[in-house]
Amino acid sequence: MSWLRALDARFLAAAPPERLATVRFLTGAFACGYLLVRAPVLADFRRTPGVFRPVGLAAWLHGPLPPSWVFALFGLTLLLGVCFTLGWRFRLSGPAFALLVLWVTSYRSSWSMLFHNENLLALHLLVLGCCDAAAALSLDARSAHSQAATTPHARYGWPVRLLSVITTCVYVVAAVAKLKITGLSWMDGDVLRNYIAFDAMRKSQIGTLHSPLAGYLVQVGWPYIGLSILTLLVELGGPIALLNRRLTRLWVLGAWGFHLGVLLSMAIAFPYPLSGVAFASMFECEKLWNVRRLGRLRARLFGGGLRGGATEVS
Amino acid sequence: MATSTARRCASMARCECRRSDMARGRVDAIGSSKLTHCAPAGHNSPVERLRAYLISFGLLSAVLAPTLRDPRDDDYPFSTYPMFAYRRGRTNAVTSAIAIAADAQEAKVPPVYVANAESMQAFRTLARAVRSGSQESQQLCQMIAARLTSATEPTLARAVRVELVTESVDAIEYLAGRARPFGRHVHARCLVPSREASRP
Repeated sequence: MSWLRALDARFLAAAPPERLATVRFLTGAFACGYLLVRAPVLADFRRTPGVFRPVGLAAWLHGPLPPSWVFALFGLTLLLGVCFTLGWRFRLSGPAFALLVLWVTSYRSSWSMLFHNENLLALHLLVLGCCDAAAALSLDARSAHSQAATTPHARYGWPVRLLSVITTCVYVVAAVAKLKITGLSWMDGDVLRNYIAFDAMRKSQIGTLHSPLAGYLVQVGWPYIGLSILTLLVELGGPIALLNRRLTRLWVLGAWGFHLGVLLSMAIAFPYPLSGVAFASMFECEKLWNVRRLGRLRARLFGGGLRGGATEVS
Repeated sequence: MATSTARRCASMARCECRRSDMARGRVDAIGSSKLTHCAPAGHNSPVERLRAYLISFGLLSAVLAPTLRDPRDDDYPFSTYPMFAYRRGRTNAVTSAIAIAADAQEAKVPPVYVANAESMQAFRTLARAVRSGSQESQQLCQMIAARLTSATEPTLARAVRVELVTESVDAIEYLAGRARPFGRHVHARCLVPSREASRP
């Protein structure tokens, strides 16, 4: 079974615990910030925004919850988010936070509109919540003074790789939807151009935030064929790009550029990928702590200097 | 031993340990006879390995499963991501809520009076109400009208009537200032309660 051995060697290869812990810290911090900034639409449903059609973790509900329950669960999510980010009682706070974020975002998407900019964050938190992501850079590790968590291990490697694969697969699914609904003619450029124009037009009509560039951008037709082809290439190419480090960087640049383009042309923000945190698992993100200021933050939060990882075990 | 391990390590790009790390003596136990390959430490037990594959297979199957169903059958968090997938023409129908003053001055009602601060949710709420028929449209119209009693914006505060309308627009021409919406169809019409009457 050489293919299984090859899969093992690639997927279960050891990684330093600090990489997974850094992804946990970044994702947790991002999630807390996102919850805080979006609190007005994530925590308060007193003003009914549409018909209640529960999805995701809220699917078992027969009707909306009392507003006080929704607010209390949101508060609990925030609290657990801090525990998750700092890696405190992670065996409990990890899965609990992941499930609560899934709950909060599910409930929000249960009112007439599915929001697609929260899926990836929710999925990443589920992976992080069910693995050993607090073995380093955490209050748990600080209090345990554990030396076991300083050695690279497969248990810190596969979650990081799973996060990366999930990220690319999400884009593949989006590409498949385009090809199934519209076919190859999605790349003729008109679809993309008309989307940008339609979005700006209807938003400008009701006086809400819309891209000030859209009006100019859609007057020229020729760039859209190239942009459409590039979009599908990025969306379909993710899993292949993961096989090579240089290709991965190129793909991340493409995916990030795609989201930047959507932001500039349609004023639609996908904050998680735009922040770069969604792609952290694809890099040696633990090196971030080498930045002096972050190193000081790390020392203050989690104590000591460098605690381990492949580069520091003596 | 250390040199041969280093060679094996260097030939495996995915391996976490590096030749330079080994040269500096940073990777633990490299060169010790315990190692059979260059993964420096921490081999997975069968249980851990099974757990890793089960979680990975389960989640990846769930993420990819939507490719097998109708893309219009969207869900959360395992979505088909159909948001920019449909063919859209230059001319599109747009449904909106309009506040009309006593002197027939019109103002588009912002999303916050339709649903919440999310413009996309407001569009979806309007479209759904109109699709569901005249009763739903009328209900939404009355809800918007009731909310307008607390409006502070001058154009909305003067409103005496609300209409839910669908108009067609050539978006590209509209953005260039060369076209206006046409073919208005009114789905629901309702009066804004007087401010005094709506006070508790």
